[in-house]
Amino acid sequence: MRYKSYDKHYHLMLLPGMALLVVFHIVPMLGVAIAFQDFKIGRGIWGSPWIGFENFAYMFQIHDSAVIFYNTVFISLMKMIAHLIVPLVFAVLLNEVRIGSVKRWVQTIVYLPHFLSWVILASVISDMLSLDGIVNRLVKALGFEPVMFLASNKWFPAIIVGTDIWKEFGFAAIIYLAALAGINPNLYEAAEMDGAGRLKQLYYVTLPSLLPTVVLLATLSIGNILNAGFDQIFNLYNPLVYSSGDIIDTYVYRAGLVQAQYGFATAVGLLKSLVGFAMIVLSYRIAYKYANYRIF
Amino acid sequence: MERRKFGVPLLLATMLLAALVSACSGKDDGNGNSQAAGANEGGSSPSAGGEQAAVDPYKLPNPIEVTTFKGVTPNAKLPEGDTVEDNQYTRYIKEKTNITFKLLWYASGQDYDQKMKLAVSSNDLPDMMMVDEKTFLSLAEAGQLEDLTDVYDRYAADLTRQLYASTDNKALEKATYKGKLMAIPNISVQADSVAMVWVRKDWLDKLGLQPPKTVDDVERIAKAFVENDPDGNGKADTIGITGSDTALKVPPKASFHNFKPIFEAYDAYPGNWIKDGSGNIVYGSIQPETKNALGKLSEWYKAGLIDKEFALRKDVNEPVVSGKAGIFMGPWWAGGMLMDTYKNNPQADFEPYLIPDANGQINNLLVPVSNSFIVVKKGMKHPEAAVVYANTFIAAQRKTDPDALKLDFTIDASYWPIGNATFDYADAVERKADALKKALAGEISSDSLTPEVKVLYDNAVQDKANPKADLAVWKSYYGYTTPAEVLKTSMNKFYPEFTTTTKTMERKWANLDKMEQETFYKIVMGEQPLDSFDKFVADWKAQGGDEITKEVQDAVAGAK
Repeated sequence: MRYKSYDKHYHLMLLPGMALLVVFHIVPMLGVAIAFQDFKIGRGIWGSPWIGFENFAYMFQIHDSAVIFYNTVFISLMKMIAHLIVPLVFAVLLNEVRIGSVKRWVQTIVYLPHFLSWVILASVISDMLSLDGIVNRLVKALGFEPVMFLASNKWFPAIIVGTDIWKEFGFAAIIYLAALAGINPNLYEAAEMDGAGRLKQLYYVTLPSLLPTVVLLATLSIGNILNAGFDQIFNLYNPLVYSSGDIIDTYVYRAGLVQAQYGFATAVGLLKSLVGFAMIVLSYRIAYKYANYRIF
Repeated sequence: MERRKFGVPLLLATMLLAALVSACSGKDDGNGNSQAAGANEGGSSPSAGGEQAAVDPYKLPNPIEVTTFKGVTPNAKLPEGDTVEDNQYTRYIKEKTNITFKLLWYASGQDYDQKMKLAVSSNDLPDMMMVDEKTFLSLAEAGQLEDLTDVYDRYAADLTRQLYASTDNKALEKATYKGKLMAIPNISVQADSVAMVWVRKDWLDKLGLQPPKTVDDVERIAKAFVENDPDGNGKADTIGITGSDTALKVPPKASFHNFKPIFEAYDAYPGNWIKDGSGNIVYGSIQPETKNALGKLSEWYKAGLIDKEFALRKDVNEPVVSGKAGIFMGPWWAGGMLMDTYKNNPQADFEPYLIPDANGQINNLLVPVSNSFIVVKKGMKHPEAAVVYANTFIAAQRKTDPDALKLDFTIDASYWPIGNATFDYADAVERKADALKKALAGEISSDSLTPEVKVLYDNAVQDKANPKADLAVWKSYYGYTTPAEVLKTSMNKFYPEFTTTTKTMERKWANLDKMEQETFYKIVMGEQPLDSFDKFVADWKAQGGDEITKEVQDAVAGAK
């Protein structure tokens, strides 16, 4: 054994976490069997007939599976890009603020929305975007026709991405702020000695130091390529924006849970996880090769 | 992600159920055998009248424990010290029937549906529970339910039998699977199916308009409400007709802000399986009548008669309650919403009307007579407990048991041991309204009223002395006056032909439904021309609709 005796209590402390992982994540994995069944309420996993890959085949036969897939990837890709850039810019800007109390206040306020659920925010947002809501009053004051934002396929994806980033950027910025705090001050001093101004310091010191964090977050987020945010879209969409807002998860909700198609829902979930896993492996390889970055 | 969502509750439910079921199954053994034997001896000629004296339909001879789970209304209040497991209803049932219910778990809304389905799918059934029709049929098909034919014949109380008789036995037929009674069905009040057009009478009077008698009248009134500033505030801020994001489907049970009255006036029933002119069973959404109705609605929307944002509103009652809307569609029991409306706008006054179709006939798609079913797990030792429970629950709900008057009925009914469902005469509203009317006119003595109607009578008398002074009092009896009179109008009534699902439907319905909703909303809101309806019909048929129609026709033919 490589481990010394004084390591033992660490492993003991690991035990409850591992037990939870096994009970709640590993054991339920056996349930993926349902994906290969015509799962019937009442018969259970043992009694339901096995149908091989029929559930998976059906996924691609759905009339607008292409539209749903496109919506999912488009929305989640937009979110992913916004989630990398907005918190980064915000963190760098906030880091330049010299008055400590202002910094803390701003940080606290911007991360508050993170703790609100989409059920509540959806009411707020749909009220703000309604015909006589605050946004349309502004639109009218500027001399334009009011827009029904949540009924418009043109606006809907933008609203989804925009409100999501508004909700999360403050919280995401925490990681960048931590990374910024971790940059060795000697580097700045040395740059200053070499005659670098604030912009040059930003370009030659701050950004390169943050790069590993950016790569790490990008790599992790790419696994979510097929998660476009069920809670948010489910609470904001309506039949008028199905063509731009119906994503895999909302479709599976209607097909899988409302219609009790557990086999199908599980098959979609499994496929999503596999794609997510493949994307993580791929992006890790890329990060490893081109950014010389290792997570594990 | 879905996998994980299933996995955790499934595992928890399994562990919980396993623990609880094994813990309580041991206790029943004492008197179970003798009870079952006794039932068998007497069961040889179950329907003979003489035997009913032998059993008490309201109480089991020995105390038993029965496991169950149920859905409860979220955040419904309970008095201090009471719990979901132990409250006035559970104590009442225990005292009356000798049945102690052991609640394995409870949940609300969709959580309940999911947990219930998971428990059912993993065969973790409690002794007794209340389920919907689809679940009932799949349980019956899987042979997981106890046959209740004999125990119903032996134990059903007179009042229970009368209630079922008021449905022409349609309720018991629904609960019958392959010739055997496999559940105790509830009885929905048929009045709930009637969707009325509620119009602000004070605005009609102000603008000098007559109440609506046709669809065109509704159009004319809505136009006047939108354009002629009926609230007199000098701003064009009034809404003609309200709607909701479920407005373009006809539910058998009338719901608020749903366009059921307009669809029915066009003889259209989107979302339902109905008989067409030649007696074939067809899907209502693809019929030409539906196209006509959508055409009218889209005209109205374009003209601004329907709330511009009807599909997007989160709080659909708001336009009515705030006094901005002049017309909404809804059931006879709109009193609750009107109470809020009148509180904000004391001068407001809504009246209900029915709108006939082009032939002058008022169409009404009825609610399926039963939608909840009390079922008993196969092998449970005391299946009669289900009938005894139903008898007692009915007697309490209908207040024929004097002790039930001591219960506080403002406590949410989902706290009854196995949850809530309506068990009443199919024509209960009309019955009560008649009795109330006669008592108020002095034709019958108020002492002869049933306790339930007596409460309405007292409230009506109190309100007459000082009209609408206490809106809560007014609300409690109002539904049994004007709206109940409207219910007595002669109507062309019929049931949906098919209310569950077929094999192909399970697979393809989500896609077809999405197509339907998207097309209908876009047509009404002017994003697609009316003729895109024809393309929808063709697509619907091609993408599984024809197949499903065939299955539904076979299923209905097979059931007869």
